[in-house]
Amino acid sequence: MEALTTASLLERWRDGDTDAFAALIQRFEEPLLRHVRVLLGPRGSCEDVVQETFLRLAKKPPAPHPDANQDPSAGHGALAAWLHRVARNLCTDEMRSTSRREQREQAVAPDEAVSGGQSSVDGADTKAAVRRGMDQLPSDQREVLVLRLLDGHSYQEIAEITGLKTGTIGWLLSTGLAALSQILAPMLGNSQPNKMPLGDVQ
Amino acid sequence: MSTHHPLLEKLTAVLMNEADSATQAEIKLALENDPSLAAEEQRLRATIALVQTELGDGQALAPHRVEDLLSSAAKLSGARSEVLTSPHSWGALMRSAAAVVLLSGGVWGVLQYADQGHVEISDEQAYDERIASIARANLLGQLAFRQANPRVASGNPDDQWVGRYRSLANQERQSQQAYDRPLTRDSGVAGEVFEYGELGAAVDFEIEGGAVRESLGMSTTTLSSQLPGEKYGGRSESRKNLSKPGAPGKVSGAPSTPSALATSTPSAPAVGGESWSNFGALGYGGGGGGAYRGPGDSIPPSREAAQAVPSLRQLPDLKRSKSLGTTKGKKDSFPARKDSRLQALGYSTGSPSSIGPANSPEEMEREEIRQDSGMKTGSHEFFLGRDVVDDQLESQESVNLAMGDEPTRPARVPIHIKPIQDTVDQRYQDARHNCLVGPNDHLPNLYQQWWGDNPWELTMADSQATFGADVDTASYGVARNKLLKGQLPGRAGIRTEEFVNYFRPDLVAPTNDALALSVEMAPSFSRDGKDRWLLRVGVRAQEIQAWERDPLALVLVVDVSGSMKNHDRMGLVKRAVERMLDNLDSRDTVAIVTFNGEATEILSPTSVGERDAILAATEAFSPGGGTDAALGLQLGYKVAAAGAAPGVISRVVLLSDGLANTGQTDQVKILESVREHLNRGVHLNTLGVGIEGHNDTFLEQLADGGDGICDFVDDDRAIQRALGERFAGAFIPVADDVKIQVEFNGRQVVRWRQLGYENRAIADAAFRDDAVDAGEVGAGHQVTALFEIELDRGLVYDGTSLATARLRWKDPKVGGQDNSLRQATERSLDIMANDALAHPGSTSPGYQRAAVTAQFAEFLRRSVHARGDSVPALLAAAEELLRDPEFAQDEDTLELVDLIRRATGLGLEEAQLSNAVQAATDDLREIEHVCRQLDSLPGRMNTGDRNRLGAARRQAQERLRQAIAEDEAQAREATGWSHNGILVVQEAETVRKR
Repeated sequence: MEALTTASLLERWRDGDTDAFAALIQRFEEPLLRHVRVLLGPRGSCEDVVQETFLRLAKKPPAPHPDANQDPSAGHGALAAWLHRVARNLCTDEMRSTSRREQREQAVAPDEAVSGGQSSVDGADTKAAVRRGMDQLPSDQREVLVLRLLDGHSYQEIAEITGLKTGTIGWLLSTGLAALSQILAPMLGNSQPNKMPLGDVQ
Repeated sequence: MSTHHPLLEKLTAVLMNEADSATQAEIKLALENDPSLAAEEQRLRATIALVQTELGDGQALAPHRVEDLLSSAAKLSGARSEVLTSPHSWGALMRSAAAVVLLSGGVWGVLQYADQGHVEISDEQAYDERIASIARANLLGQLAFRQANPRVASGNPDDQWVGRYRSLANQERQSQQAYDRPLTRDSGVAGEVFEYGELGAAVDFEIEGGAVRESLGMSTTTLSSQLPGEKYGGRSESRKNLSKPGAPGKVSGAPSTPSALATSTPSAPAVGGESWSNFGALGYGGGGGGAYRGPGDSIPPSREAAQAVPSLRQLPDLKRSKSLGTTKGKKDSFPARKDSRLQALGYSTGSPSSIGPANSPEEMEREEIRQDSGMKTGSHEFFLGRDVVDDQLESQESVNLAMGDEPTRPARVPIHIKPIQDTVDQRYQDARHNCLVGPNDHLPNLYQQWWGDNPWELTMADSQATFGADVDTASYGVARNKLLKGQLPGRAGIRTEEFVNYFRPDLVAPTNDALALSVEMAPSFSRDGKDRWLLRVGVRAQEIQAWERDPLALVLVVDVSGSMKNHDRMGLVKRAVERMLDNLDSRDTVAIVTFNGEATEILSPTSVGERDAILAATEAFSPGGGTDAALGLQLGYKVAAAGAAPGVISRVVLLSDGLANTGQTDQVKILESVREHLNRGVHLNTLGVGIEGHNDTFLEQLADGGDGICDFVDDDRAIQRALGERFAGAFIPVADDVKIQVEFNGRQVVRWRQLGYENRAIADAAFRDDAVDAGEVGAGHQVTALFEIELDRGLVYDGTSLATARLRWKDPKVGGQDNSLRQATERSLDIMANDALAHPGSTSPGYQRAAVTAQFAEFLRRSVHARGDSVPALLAAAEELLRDPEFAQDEDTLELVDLIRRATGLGLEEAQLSNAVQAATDDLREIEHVCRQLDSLPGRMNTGDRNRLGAARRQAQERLRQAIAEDEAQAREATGWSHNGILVVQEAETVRKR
């Protein structure tokens, strides 16, 4: 199964092959979880949302991409965009619910308040620090960064997923990356970001 | 917002492999020549690597979830229709459904809720109707509508056409034809002249022969009503609006009655009663009191008033000289709100009954035409005597016309008017004092006045915004009508919150609470070089489906008076009833009471199961006769009381064209009775029929008093909206006294301003005072508030909040319950830095539409905050909304974009600064507000700043004076009022009404 293209897995699932469906879960659960986590925060109901996303795939799979047979990556990209879009919409609903938001805030705020800033992290905490750094970004920047840096989507694909214009995506990515590099400055080794003429100049 | 290296975006694109070859070459060159960019590149690469190594690890769903999914998939692959397990809890729905064990016609039915809201019902035949009803209810999804805030008598944008000229025009009673606007006034921009009222203009004139001197002082509501005299010393007199209402029968010259005297007194306490009886008796806007001044001051106006009568009557063409100011609402007007004004003044006789018997259909129609065509214009004056007089004059006119009584007038009458410099001085002084009034100094129940724009508030001086929820939407409808007719609406009729709340809800309705709070924030439209953000605080009410609501006992009180014959109003009523029945089911009952001169119960409470019987009753309506709404309501309440039962929502629904003019039209008493019944749990909804989108104070106030919704229908689309889509919100309350408070954190937010809700403000301290009344919110409502905030150091991610939004409400009123015991609920939400979105384009479509709508409203208001913003940018943003597939299909959004386009074509951008006086006043008001705030924070400002602020204030004052002087000069020129104070009125001509 693993070797099959996404498009053919989709095709098989549309024909009722549950193994193909399992393969699709395996193929997409990681990027979807990452995406959803970015939107809902660390303790949000990320798995609920991803499960619901796959459930929608199960109930009503999208039509295969017309060029999927010639271009496997187009087929993959189309389904990926579909899944991310569904997940994103579910997240939007989640985020608008008061209780969820409150949970998320409680989850994020205390960590930051007691951490004493990024300079205090040591090596073992790097991962958590990077995570926290990401969590400090506005969620639109965060989302674009994750979709691009971790899941390797092109600007065009991100545009399909988020509904943003590619220009906006470029802007979010560059400002988000710059902001993140400042937040993570203590971990960036030799560079001296604070002396850069880059930062917040009013 | 921070600014970054100019090449940052391109550099990122290169790093991301998304750059074209030209950009790549550009960056390559720049990297070689610009060490700072090279360092930046290193840093970004390191950041990317760090993120990818640290966060790129595998994440997977928990095994049990995968198992769940696979078993669902297995079922689906066999039969796709089978029920799947879903992680999203349908539990709430299932519980509700299980709880809905319906008793109907003695048969029990059980609803079972399956996966997607599919309903199975055991006894098919008995529940056909239920199924249909439930299905319909499911369509009710998105509701947005209006609700009147009982605390503030709000309403419909009124014409802000007030001013000295108008009162002059009032002297001349006969001519009511429409006038052209004076050249000097804001060509094409309706409503600007309103400023004259605001500025407080004063014109003295003198009829040759010295028989009468009249001073007509106008000024702002706020000042005049609030600061009677003492505070502003010598200015107080010019603040009195001295027109007095007359009593019935004055046309014939009957002596004034004590009641006329009594009614006039409260509005002008400084004025001796006697003097007014004469003026009042004549139905004239009189002068006198403190405003009486100039030579001959020793002669009380009262005595001369009587003598003055003939001259006044003969005053020929002041009406034409009125061209000065009396465009008199022709372009921009709304129905007069005389009744509510009277009520505000504590009058008890000022209702239409006092303007003589106008109960024939023709009379009422005439009255209506005047309203519709805006011949009666409202004032934002608190004293309001003048408007009352207007109304009376107009009705007298009708009477006179009816009698064919055309008074004769002499050809020429020269009039002395005040020298221009005096007038300018006075207008300037009034305007300046007006600017000193703070935003919270307004009286809460003024009608249709220009509330000004909410100013920027320094967070350190005032960190809280507290206001009552408002789901009214009338302002949008009226503005739309204007725009569709090719006119820009006047500024005072635009209420930003009503624009924003007009649209269908976009937020997700809560399931576990009556209301839910939500926030969204992104960089603001107008940055102005500052770090500005637009914060949206949304309140969404629970959706209540037909099957989960309590049964309704409705009593329809239907107006079958003569005026209802016209314009297919009866047809509208019948279709409205039909539409209403679509949303009801056999648990509900409907009774029908009709009224004209008398009230009749034509249908006793009947189950909606007998739909045909109810519809048959509506066929029997035969309009004719007078309109005694009080009688109708009385009987309606009696019927409602007889049918009251625990667990039944009892509502009286008044369907009328709102022209109550015989019988007990004392609205105060009607309102008292409405409130009394409300305390017994009977709400009152009102439905205005065929009033062409215009609001009607009477109906709105009644609904306010009855904690119900007031809506207006003039066509089938409006019926669909009012009784189809908004049905649940209108008939099923979910929360009462809904108050919203947003508290800003002064450490992050330098200053903030609220868009709209100018007249819904509540004292900050009253937020938790449950005795303080605020708006009711019905099922499915959405209330949106917008704030612009300015940050100090950009977003700070230190775990402190930017702001806290709080929401407080009480359970809705229920019959038989002690309302003081109702539980108050409070929710709050912290707004953190990482709630902010970095780009406005990232926000939800609903947020974007709210931002566009608010900005549109700000432009239409000629808001000082929108000045300098770009209308084309607004239009582009509006068109951008249609990229959202949902909005591209949504007729309301399409219409919004169309309206913005039309407004742009009508000169929306040019309108922003077309009135120099208005602009200068707005500027000065802003500066005065800053001064006031800083005064409240001693020691916060150094001497240099203080001096600069002082200089700015002086400049603004000078600009205002200059603007007024120019305006006055132009006005006089346009009308032949010479600077030296002699006006020669031209030859009279016979002027016919309309």
